[in-house]
Amino acid sequence: MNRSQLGGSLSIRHVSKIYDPEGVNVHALHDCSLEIPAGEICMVLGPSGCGKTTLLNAVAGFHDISSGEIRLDDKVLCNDAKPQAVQGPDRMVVFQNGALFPWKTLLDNVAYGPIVQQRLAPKMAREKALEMLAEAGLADVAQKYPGEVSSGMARRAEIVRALINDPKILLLDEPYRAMDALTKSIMHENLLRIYDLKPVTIFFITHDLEEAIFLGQRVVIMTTRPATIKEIIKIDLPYPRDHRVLSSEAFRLLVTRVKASVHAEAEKAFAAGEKEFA
Amino acid sequence: MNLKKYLLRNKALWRGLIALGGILLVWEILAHWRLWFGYSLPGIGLMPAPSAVLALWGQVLLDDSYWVSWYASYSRVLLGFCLAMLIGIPFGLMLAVNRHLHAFFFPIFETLRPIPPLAWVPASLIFWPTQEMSIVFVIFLGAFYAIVINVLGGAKNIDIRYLRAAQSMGAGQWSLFWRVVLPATLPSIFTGAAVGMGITWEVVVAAEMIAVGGRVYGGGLGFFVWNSFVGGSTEQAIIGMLSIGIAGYLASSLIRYTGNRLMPWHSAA
Repeated sequence: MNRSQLGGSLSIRHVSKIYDPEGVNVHALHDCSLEIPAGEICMVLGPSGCGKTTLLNAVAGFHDISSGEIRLDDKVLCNDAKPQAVQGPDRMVVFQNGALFPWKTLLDNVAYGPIVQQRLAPKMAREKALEMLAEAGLADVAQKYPGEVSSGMARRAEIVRALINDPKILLLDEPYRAMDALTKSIMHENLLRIYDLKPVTIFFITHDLEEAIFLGQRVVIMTTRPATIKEIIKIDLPYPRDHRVLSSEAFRLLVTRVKASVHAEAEKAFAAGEKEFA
Repeated sequence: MNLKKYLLRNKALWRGLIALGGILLVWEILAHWRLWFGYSLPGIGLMPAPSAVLALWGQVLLDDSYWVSWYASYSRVLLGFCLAMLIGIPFGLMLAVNRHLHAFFFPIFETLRPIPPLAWVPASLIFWPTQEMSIVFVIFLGAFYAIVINVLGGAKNIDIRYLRAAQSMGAGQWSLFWRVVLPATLPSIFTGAAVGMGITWEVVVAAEMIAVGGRVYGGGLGFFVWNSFVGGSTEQAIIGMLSIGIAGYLASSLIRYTGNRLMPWHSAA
């Protein structure tokens, strides 16, 4: 499959964002420029509270930007004339603490998008949803509520719920944040398997640098606030990757290299007492 | 056979029965103290024995005015409560969703809310054409505030991630309301309903004591208690009290049952 022909390239040009609650200027993003080709797994790495989520929210259309432009393929999402992008199923977000609707079963959660978009009749949507849940190994728990399954299963179902809408780009905001290392590693391999099946660009925010290197084709390192792009590191580990990569020499060299770059920023952020920032 | 085994092994059930039996036993002894031991305990006045209460209850059960009291109180409570739900839920949701309506109505609501429902009894007796309507109105008020405050709080505190996720998936305003805001608020609606239902029983009893004078039929359980006291039968007053307890328990069980049926995810989580 030639991913680049299917669309989903994201272009972030000179984007700045200043929050101005009651006159206190908080400079969250400063002149960020980043080109993500269609079909890439792009990992954005930075210290907590640096403004990574602000960038993701701007792409998703949850927040406006103060200046700059963001495009998805040829479509302008937001710019100076239209500072806030319209939310849409071409950009699906998987949230930090999970946002499956607790009042719907996993199956109905997944079927929700096609039904409200009136793309599929409810019966068809549920059939499709079950098929996709089965592909992700969740057929047995499809009829359960999110509160009844493990956080790993819930997060997998949430990714399925995003993918059923055929997004061009998947926006993941530290989706595996609260998980232990072993569960995380299973989730990572699963995400790469799903990625192999689906033509989608992945924009993944994290502060876990091993996660960034394991998953990404490129790792974008952001500075502490005001966040800007400090360095882009290409990860030339061959796919398919599995957990054995983690103990390879090449992987350890990359960790050292990325750590050197991100550590200085983390220290600055710590000294400034930055708090997690929406 | 299985049921028998289950009942025999159910420790919680046995503990509950033992506690109940113990209380009844102590109560029985205290009630007969003077007769049995020849002196009164300091600080303890007249008290009917539970055996006397139960014996009288057996007779009262056959008396249709007792059941008319049940019916009268229950119909008042249910009418006032249902009106409070019907008006309170949309009102609370409206205040949560619309900033302007909130600014307009909330101050008035917050000023009226601290007034205890019973303080409304005189004004309501003068305002409403029938006694019955004024009692229902006071019951309505008791439940209304609890329901509105809970619905408003629940709907205002919906996690923004749910709204964002739904909008990203293409939900319009209509679908957002029916499929996200409403189910997300349902737990708060039932909390409000449970609290409100508790208040309605407090209110109905007091309102019946104040407002239903001179009637034997249709006075309700509150009137039953008061009338028994005035008529000198403490046993019967206690029967009335226990009946109110049972009535309230049945009403809140109904709410819990409905809540569990409507929110299967809630009991599961």
